[in-house]
Amino acid sequence: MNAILGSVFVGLMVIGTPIAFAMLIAGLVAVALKPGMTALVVTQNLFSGLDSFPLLAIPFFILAAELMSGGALTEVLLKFAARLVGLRRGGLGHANILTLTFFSGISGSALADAAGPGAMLIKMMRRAGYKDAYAAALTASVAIVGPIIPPSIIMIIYALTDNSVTVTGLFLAGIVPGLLIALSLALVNHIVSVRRGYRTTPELLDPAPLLRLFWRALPALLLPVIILGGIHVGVFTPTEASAAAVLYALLVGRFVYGTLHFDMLPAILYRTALMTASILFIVATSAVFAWVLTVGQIPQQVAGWIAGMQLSPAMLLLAVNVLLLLVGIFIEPLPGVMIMVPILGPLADAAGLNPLHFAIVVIVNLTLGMVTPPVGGLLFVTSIVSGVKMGPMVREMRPMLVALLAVLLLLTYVPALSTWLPGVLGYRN
Amino acid sequence: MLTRAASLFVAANRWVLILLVGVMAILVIANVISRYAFSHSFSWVEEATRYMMIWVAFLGAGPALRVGGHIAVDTLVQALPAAGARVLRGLLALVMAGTLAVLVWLGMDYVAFAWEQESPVLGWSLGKIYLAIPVGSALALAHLLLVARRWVGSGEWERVEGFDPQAL
Repeated sequence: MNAILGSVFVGLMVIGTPIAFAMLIAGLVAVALKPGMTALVVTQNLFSGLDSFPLLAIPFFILAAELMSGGALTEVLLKFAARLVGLRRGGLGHANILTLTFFSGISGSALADAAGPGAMLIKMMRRAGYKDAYAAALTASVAIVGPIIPPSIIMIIYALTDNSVTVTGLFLAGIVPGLLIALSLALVNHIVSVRRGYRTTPELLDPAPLLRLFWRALPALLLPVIILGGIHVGVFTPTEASAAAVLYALLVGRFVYGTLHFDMLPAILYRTALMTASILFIVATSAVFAWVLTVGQIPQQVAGWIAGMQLSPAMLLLAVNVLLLLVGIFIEPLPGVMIMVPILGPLADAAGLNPLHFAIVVIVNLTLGMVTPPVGGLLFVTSIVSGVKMGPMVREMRPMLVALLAVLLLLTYVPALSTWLPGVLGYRN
Repeated sequence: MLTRAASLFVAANRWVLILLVGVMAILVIANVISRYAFSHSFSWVEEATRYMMIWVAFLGAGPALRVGGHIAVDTLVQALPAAGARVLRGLLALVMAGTLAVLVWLGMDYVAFAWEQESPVLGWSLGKIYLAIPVGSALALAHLLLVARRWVGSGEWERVEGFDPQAL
C-alpha cells in the first residue's frame, strides 16, 4: 500500500499538482486502499487540522505586517540603518541587510520582504553603483531571516506539527540564528565591497541627527518587542499577542507614519484573507496527509530504518541536513515542515536531540531551500521584482550560499546558539 | 451577462472574506482589551473566531486558486515546450476539479453526519460549521472553471495588487 501511495503522491507533486491537492488525493487513495476505512476520516482531519486557536496568529501577523508596511516605513528604517552602518565600505549593502533584518521583526514571512522593501533596496543599490545582480542576490539571501527572526508563520506551524516545542520557545530560539545569518551576509558584503571597491554613499545619508532617525524608526522596531515581551511577561498568549500587534500596527500606520488610510483597509484585509487561505488550506490538507503517514506507519518505518544504520547524533544531523537541503530545493518551507517534521521529529527525539535545536536546524535548512538554485521561491520573486535575470543572480549568489551553509553547520553542531536565549528566559521547549 | 454574473460572484466572495477577517480581528482585540480593562473575557470569542478562521480558509481557497495561491512544484511545467505545458496544465486543471468535486460530496456527508452535534461553548450545530468544506469546495470549483481556460492556455493566473503567491 505504501508503495502505491508513495508513487501517487510523488507523481502528483512532480507533474505540478498544487501540494495541498496532492496531499488530499493521497488521503483519498489511502481510504480507497485500506479496507473498512470510511471517507469521513478525510473531512474530519481536514477540519480538525484547522480547529486550533493558536493558528489564528497566522492571519493576524500577516495583517499586522500589511497594516504597518508601505513605502514610508521602508524609508524610515533604511535611513536609520544607513546612518548606523552606511559609512562603512559597501555601506548601502550593509544598510540593506540591516533594514531587511528590521523588517523580519515585523513580518512573519520575509519572502514578502524581498518583494516589498527588497525591491526598493535593490533599486537604490543599483543607483549607487552596485552591480544589480549582486544587489538582487544580497537581498534574496537576507530575506531568509524573515521566517527565522520572530514573528514567524513557519514557527507557528512547526509548533502545531511537533508538540514537543512551543511557539514562544521557537520565537526566542530563532533570534540568535537570525542575527547570525545577517552577520555572515554582512561579512560577505564587506569582502565583496573591498574587492570591487564599492564605496560609501554619503549623499544617501540623511543629515538629521541619529537620535531623531532612531525616534522615527522606534515605533516599527517596537513591534517585535511588544510581541515577545508581552508573551514573556505573561500578558499575552501568542495569539493574543498577534491581535495586539494588529491593533498596534493599525495605530502606528495611521497616526505615527500616516501611510495607512482607512479606505485601504478592504484591499489589505482581502490580501490577508488570500494569504491566510493559501496557508491554511495546505495546513488542513497536511492534517489529512499526517493521517496517511500514521496509518501507513511511515514515521516508524523510517525511524526503524535509520536506527538500523546506527548513526551517532552528529551523523544523524548531517544526514537530516543533506535530506532537507535536497527536499528544500523543490518544496517551499511551509509544506516542507508539514511533510517532513512528522517523520523526522520522532527520530530527533529518539536520538536525544534538543527539540528547539532540532527545530531551528529544520527551519533554517528548509528556508535555505528558497535561495538554492535552480528553483528557489525567493530567487524567482527577487528576479521578478528587480528585473535581474536568474543566471547572473545565481552566479553572484555563490559567496552568500557558502556563508549560509557555514551558518547552518554552526547551528547544527552548536545547539547553544538556538537553545541559549530561550533557556535564559526559562523556556526549555 | 455571464461576465457580469462572474464578477458579481467574485466580488461577493471577496467581501465575505474581508468581513470575516475584519470581524475576527475586532473580536479577538476586543476580548484582550476587555480582559485587562474589565477583568472579563468572553469564552465564546475563542470558539467563534476559530470557526470564522476555518471559513476563511475554505471560502478563500477559490479566490486563492484564481491568483495561483496554491503552492506547487512547477519545475516540470516550466521545462516543457509550450504545447506540452498546455496539455499538462489541462491535466492539472482536471485533477484539481475532480478533487474539489469529491470534496463537495464528502463534505456533504460530513455535514449530515454532524448536523445534530453541538459546539461546546456556543451550542451551534457542528454540521452548519462543517458546511465550510462543501460550500468552500463548490465555490473553488466554480472559480476554477472560470479561470481554467485562460490558465491552461497561457499559464497566467489572475493578479491581485500587492499579492504574490510566491511570497508565502
